[in-house]
Formats: sequence, C-alpha cells, structure tokens
Amino acid sequence: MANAAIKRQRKRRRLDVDGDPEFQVAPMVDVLLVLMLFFMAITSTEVLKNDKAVNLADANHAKPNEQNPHHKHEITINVEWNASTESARYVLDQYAAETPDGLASAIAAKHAADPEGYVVIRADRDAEYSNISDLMAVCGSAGISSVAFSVLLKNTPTPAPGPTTTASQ
Amino acid sequence: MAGSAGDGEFGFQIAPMLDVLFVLLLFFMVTAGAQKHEASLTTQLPGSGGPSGDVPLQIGIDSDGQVTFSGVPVGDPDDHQLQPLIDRLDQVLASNATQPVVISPVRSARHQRVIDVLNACAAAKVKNLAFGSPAD
Repeated sequence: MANAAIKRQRKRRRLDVDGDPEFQVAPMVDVLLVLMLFFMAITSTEVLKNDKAVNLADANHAKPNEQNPHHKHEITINVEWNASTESARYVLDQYAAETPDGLASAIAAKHAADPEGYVVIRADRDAEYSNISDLMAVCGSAGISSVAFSVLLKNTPTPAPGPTTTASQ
Repeated sequence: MAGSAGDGEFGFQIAPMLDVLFVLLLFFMVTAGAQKHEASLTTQLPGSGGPSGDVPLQIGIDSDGQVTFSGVPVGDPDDHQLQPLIDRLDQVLASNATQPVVISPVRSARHQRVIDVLNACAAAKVKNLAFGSPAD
C-alpha cells in the first residue's frame, strides 16, 4: 500500500524531470569523434605538407589548387630561404636537405609510388633562381616532367584565371 | 538534482560541454582565418618535350629584376604586373598561338621575379612554356 504510493510518487517525479527534452550523450560523442577524426585526417594530408616558414611569392593569374584535376598527385617540395646565410633548405615531407641532391632518392621514391605525380615547388619569394633550377634538374632526372609553383593568390580585379600554361610539346 | 541520485544514472552536465564546444569552434574559426589561399602556376621541365619547329622566344631575368624580351629590356624592375611583357606576348601569340616561350633567368634572380614572369605568361595564355638552363 505504502509501497504503491511511493512508486506512484516516483513515477510522477520522473515525468516532471523528463518534461524538458531528453539529451542523448552517446550519439553526440559519436558525432564528435567522427568530426575529430575528420579534422585529424585533413590536417595530416593537407596542412603538414606545407611549410609555414616559406614566404610564398604572389601572383594573380594562377589557378587555385582545387581546380587542378591532378591535385591529388602533387609532391610538395618546400624551399626555405635563410636570408642571413643566403642559403636554401629543401623539405619534402619528413626529409630535409641542404642541397636538392639530398632529396633525389626521396623524390624518386615518390615518383615510383605514384607515376602520375608531379612536383609542386613551394619556394620562398627571396630564394635565388639557382636553387630552383637545381631542384628542377633533380626532378627532371627523376623522370618528372611537370612542375608547378605554389603562389599566394592575390585578389585583384582581373577574374578568370587563364588555362594552365602546361606545355604540350 | 532529483534525476541524478534517484535513478542511478549519472547526470550529464550540458553547460561545460557547451563551453568546450564553443572553445573548439573558436579554435577552428581562428585557424581557418589564418589559412592562406594557395594556387599554382604550372610549367614543363627543360628537355622533357621533343623539339618543335618554332624558334623559342627567350625571356631573360637579370639579377636586379630587369626582364628582357628576346634580349630587349621590357618593363620596369619594380613592376610586378609586367603589362608591357603581356602586351608583347599577346602580339606574338596572335600570329602563332603555339609559339614556344623559354624563360632563362640568371642564377641569382629572385624567385618572386620568376613568378612575376610566369604570371605574365599565364595572363597572356602562353601554351608552350619551359625553363632554359640558367645563364650566369
């Protein structure tokens, strides 16, 4: 008798509490973990390839990377420029070298893994052309014929970036 | 407090969770703002293509940034848009749309200047573009 009264009271109380919408923790945590995985994956593939120490040159007729159909095949090589010692440093993923020859084996391995791969040179705006041309020579001897230069897209009144300047000889 | 002790379920605090979520949101907003929009200018490496019939047009870059068009200085060393070079290229490409162009900077030329010239070539829609071996 008294037992039944307590039960009834407890039932009423729970109904009161549940008057506001129920919040489900488990699905929310699921969603958050998926989001976190997504951002972690994006970070490792897209951001870490790009060296923040490189001060890119700017251009306004370049083609945004996303518009390039071969975007997924890029082999990004960073060329850092040390203004005080007037020397360059080459960085490809976890490999770093003082001369382009030091990256030759890494570039060849990347090219072997993805024959469609092309090199994107992210060179500092103050780097000397000799640094770039030596690097291009190494890429050429590794069998890579197409090279792109990363630039910062400056917003100027000239819209419509022209078609790529890829040579078809 | 009624629900927490009574039913044996652990109480879920939504306020701290919202705090954390807002901090995360702020973090991603700030990092997205710092992101720079990168683009690329593509070219072919020297020696990769076969010889074509046309004599390539030579564009040179001096160490002080002066651009030369077939040996004749064109534009101003401080001009990043290089409109005179674009005009000259337009004239040549109007008569021969597949005119090969070779850029041969000196070894000490700055990369920004090379990019300026590449940018001008992209603006003039040069189709056959390559780098020459650097002059000293």
